Amino acid sequence: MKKKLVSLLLVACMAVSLAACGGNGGDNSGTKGSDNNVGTEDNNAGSEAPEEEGDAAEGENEGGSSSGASGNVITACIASEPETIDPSLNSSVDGATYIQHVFEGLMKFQPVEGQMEPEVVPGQAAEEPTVSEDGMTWTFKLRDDIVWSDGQPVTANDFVYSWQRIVDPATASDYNYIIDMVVNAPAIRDGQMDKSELGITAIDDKTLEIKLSSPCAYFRDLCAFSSLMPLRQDIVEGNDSWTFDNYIGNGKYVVSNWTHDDSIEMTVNDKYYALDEIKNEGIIWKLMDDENAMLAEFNSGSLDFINSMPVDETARLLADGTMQVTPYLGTYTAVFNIEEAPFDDPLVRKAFSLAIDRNYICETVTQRGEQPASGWVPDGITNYAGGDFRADGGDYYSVDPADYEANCEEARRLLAEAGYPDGEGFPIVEYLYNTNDGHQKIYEALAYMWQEELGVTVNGSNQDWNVFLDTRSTGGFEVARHGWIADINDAVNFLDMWTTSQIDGNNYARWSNEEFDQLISGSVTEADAAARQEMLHKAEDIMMEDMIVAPIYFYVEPYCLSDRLTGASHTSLGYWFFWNLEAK
Amino acid sequence: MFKYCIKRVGIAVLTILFIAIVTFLLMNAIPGSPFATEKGVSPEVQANLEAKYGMDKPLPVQLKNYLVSFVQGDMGVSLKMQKNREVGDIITEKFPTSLRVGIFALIWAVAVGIPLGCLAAYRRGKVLDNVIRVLATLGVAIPGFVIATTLLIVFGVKFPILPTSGLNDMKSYILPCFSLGFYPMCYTARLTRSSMLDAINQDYIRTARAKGLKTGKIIFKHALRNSLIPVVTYIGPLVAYIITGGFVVETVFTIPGLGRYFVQSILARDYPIIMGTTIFLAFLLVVAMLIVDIVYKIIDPRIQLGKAGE
Repeated sequence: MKKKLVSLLLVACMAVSLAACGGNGGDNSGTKGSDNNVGTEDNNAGSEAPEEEGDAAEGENEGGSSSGASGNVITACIASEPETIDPSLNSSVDGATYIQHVFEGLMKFQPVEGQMEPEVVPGQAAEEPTVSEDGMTWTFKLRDDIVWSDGQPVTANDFVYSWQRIVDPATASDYNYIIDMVVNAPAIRDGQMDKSELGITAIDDKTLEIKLSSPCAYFRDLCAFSSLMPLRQDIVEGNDSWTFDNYIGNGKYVVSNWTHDDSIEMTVNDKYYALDEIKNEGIIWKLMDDENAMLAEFNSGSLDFINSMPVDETARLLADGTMQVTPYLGTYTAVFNIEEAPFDDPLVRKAFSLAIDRNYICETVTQRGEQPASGWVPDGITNYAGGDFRADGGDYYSVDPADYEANCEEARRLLAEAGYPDGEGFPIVEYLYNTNDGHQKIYEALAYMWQEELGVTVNGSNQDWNVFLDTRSTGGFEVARHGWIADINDAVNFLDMWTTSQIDGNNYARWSNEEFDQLISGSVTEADAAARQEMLHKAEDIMMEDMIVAPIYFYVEPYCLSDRLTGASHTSLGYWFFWNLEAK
Repeated sequence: MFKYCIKRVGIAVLTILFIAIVTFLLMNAIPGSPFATEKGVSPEVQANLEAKYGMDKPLPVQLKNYLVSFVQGDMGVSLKMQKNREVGDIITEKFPTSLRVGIFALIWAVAVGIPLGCLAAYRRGKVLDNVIRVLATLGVAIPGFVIATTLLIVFGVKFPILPTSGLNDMKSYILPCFSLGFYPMCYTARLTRSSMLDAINQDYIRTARAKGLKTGKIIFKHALRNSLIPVVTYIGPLVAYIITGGFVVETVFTIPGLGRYFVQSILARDYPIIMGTTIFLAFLLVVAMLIVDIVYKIIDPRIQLGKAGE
């Protein structure tokens, strides 16, 4: 409340400036336009951090983009103004999508005919990398015909520079941990070693050698990650605003015009080595905030693609086939603060988890085709043997609607065992979420279920996004809304956050388990894929046995694509690829 | 008069300084950080970022540094909304867009609002008065986003005759300017009507009537001028608000203006943008108030600027 007050004061301060100046009394200050309750951060209950920001090519304020969706130019909207499109600094999904269109890494995502999920194939690398027997030394040969959009050749040094930049503490990248498996990376980001010690070397202009400190199952795919694109030292070094005035890439498109808060226009990079892979003439990314406006533009045909729509419309759009869904690796969950009574008792946590009717939430509240979550690691995570981690791991509790009553029965038994029969004597607890319609509706459903089935009262408390992040990461809550989206398609990405060392980081449950920690650190060095999978399953078993989270659903990505187009591609990591899109 | 002006400018500078300091302290009092993300940032990264942007120093030092570089024309760079872009750049790029929309909105608000108010007062108690009053009350009561979204759906989707996003031609100004100006138009109409009714009951109007002047002439020549003072008082600050952009209207119609930065910068804790936009608005307000004072003098020659200020 106090915090809200301060925010209000700040807004009031702007208004006060009205009254504060000049000596004329008695004004009828009809303060206009302060009905700004449209919270736009993290729109769809799913996607995480507010996304924003961007880059190059200044444009005059208007004119230019008469954006009729026609011909072979794609008009799409995936977010508002990006926070940044600097590959080393970006941490948002929309930023990564733009980067994937303008840059290309050692490996690249290649759309596959007839399916959404692309495959990862050599990109700037001429062929598959040579990997030493122990899996620790990777050698990439670069293609001969790769150039930057200004005509200069792409060299191995461009990769060395970029990879060093992301771990350099001075860069302060959100993703500085992403290449921790590379020799010396952790020491460099902690400031104990110079960035030149990083285990990446340009043997010659076209040969790159990367040394790992442990074998890494997902390293090949990681080489297509948007943070690991090559960068031009002569352009980036010492110029924080290079994305605004000299955004040079080596990928399929170049940014031809960027009108901030309006659109990013991309045209085909005619210096790209495989122009036949690009099926359209360009992409106009509209930068919009308002979901009603996006849907209106889509319906009127001036947008070809949108991936967020008003919550109240999703059920209808899904039913009439306008909206479709595709897998998205992420889990929406409630997280318990296990340092706070009554949630320090695993029995209470289990009771709370079991009493959630996940089918109801997916079918009646969110209505976007989400899957009820039966574990923490979502559907779609690979087991490196052609199968699915979740399928291998099985369900930790039944999410069959028919079993819900039995689950509730069990929940009541557990709660009684914990000393609160029928919820008697259970304190009133608080569920914390960031201010957002979607999150609020889910809270209301949860509170109702917990009240009805367990007889406990759960009050809701919402905070503005930034305050929420702060409160949650410092343990100032009892139960909080949480969501996690994969950076890489590997189960460890969902598990290593629960280690003891992460208690002041992403381990919001503030949970610590020695065996769990050992399994996670063991999995990092384990070379045998099957043995590693086993360790990760065991780790998930331990955390789910303690029920530090109550997973609610696995995310899906909803989208509307114009009937006139075909060929969209989307990884379950969240990035869209539009170079294969073309008019039917 | 000269002395008065000097004094006013002095007060204005102090006012802006005061606003800058209070804003700075308040925004730092809100919990949260511009560098926070759902996937927590490590303490080292946080520390590096704070050092990079000078946020590791004590607050008074940060404030001093900010004010010193502000005076030198450097408003810092955005920390979040357009990372590393100069705040000055953002404001100079966005403001003209908001200004254009704002001016059209203002023109329609004043040019329609004042005559409507007069008309209502002129036809007091008649059907026309009632129609105008209902309209004006509705306009004041309905939130901006409802008007904007309704217009968007009616003219963009049901009868797609007007563009609904961007500002590519004159036609695309119609919906945003209408939405932005609707509330002030209604408010102005109400204000004009009530102060006009006030004026109509004054003795000099009775005198004018007794002289046999036509009612229309009495209203629009004699009464209007005297009833404009409250309206001008309202319009002064309104100008500053409206030309710096309406958040709702800019969001709904995807107008790349300044309005969104006022609101979102606070949500994003983008400190330099909060400071930049607040000071900018304060400056415009101060100027607007000054102009209002001068306009008073034109409307009502009895007002003496020097004395009024002392």
